Amino acid sequence: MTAALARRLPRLPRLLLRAYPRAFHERFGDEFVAFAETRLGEARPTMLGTLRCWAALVADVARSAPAAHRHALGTRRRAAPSAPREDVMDTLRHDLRFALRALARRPGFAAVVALALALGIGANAAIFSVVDAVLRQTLPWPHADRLVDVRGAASDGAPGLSYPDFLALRDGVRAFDEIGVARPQSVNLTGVERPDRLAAAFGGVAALLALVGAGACWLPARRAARTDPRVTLGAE
Amino acid sequence: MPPRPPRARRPEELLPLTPAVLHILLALAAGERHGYAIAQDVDALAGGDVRMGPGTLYGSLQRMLAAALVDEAPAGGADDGARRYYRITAFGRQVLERELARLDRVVAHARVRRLLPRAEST
Repeated sequence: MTAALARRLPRLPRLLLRAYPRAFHERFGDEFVAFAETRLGEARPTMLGTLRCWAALVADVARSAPAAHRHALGTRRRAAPSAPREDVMDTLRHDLRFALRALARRPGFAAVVALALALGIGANAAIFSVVDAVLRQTLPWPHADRLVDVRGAASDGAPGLSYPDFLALRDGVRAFDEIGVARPQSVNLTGVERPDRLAAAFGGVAALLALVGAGACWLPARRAARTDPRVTLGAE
Repeated sequence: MPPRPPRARRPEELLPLTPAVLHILLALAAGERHGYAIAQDVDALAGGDVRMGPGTLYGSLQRMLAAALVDEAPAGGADDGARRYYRITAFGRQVLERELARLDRVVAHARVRRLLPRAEST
């Protein structure tokens, strides 16, 4: 046991040096080790004398290392406010380079990270597209923010607005500048090269067109409008 | 390495000195020395009762270099190129003189109160 201890003891100066901050290592490391080895060489050539010498060195380190750390901390705090801005960018560049090299060393992990990012960004973009089109974009007509969709319901809960109710709204409510009425209905488009099934509306479409602007295409059957503009004009 | 400007401009701001710093300054007041020679001088000053270890020595030297009490002697001025030599600065000598004067007043006061025997007149 004593022989094993004797073999390990020469490494002790370097181990003791680890108790000090890095600046101390760099400035005094070699001198510290040389000093400790000289002290060890002067100790009595017995195991007890050697152990006593090392105990004194350990006690010395225990007393002095906290002060060295306090000194290093104070030095860093004084140096921090005057650190040039370039140091921050250098740190960012180093961090980025380190991250890229770490990913390059582990391609499997990098692939999983890239896939997770792609899925997340793709899902986010898709949801945003829907929300943007449905909730954020205004209707493509002038003064779209002043349009109101009025709907009625019968006493039995059936949806719809009767014609007398429409007349009462148009003539009796001053809150509206204009009121139009329409009833959605699917129709067959014939007399053209390719007949088609269209979604159309019947009713006071002229008033609605005046309400939203004459240039707007009221009917959603835009495919028919592209091939035959009379579909829009003759829908009333 | 050029000496750094002292953080405390007035010597009195560094008083009282720790025993390790005082003994290191006393050792270096006699001339430049390397670290182990400083420790040997300190051991001799303490009469062999206390031995200064490497942590205390180089930790104190680190703080004394920062406070410009000592600086590193230029290479080639000593007989051993592998070792670093340290020397006391003018500011360090002022601090040492102030500290010794302070201790002298303390000792004189102790003698007046008969806590120490009176010094023999020469």
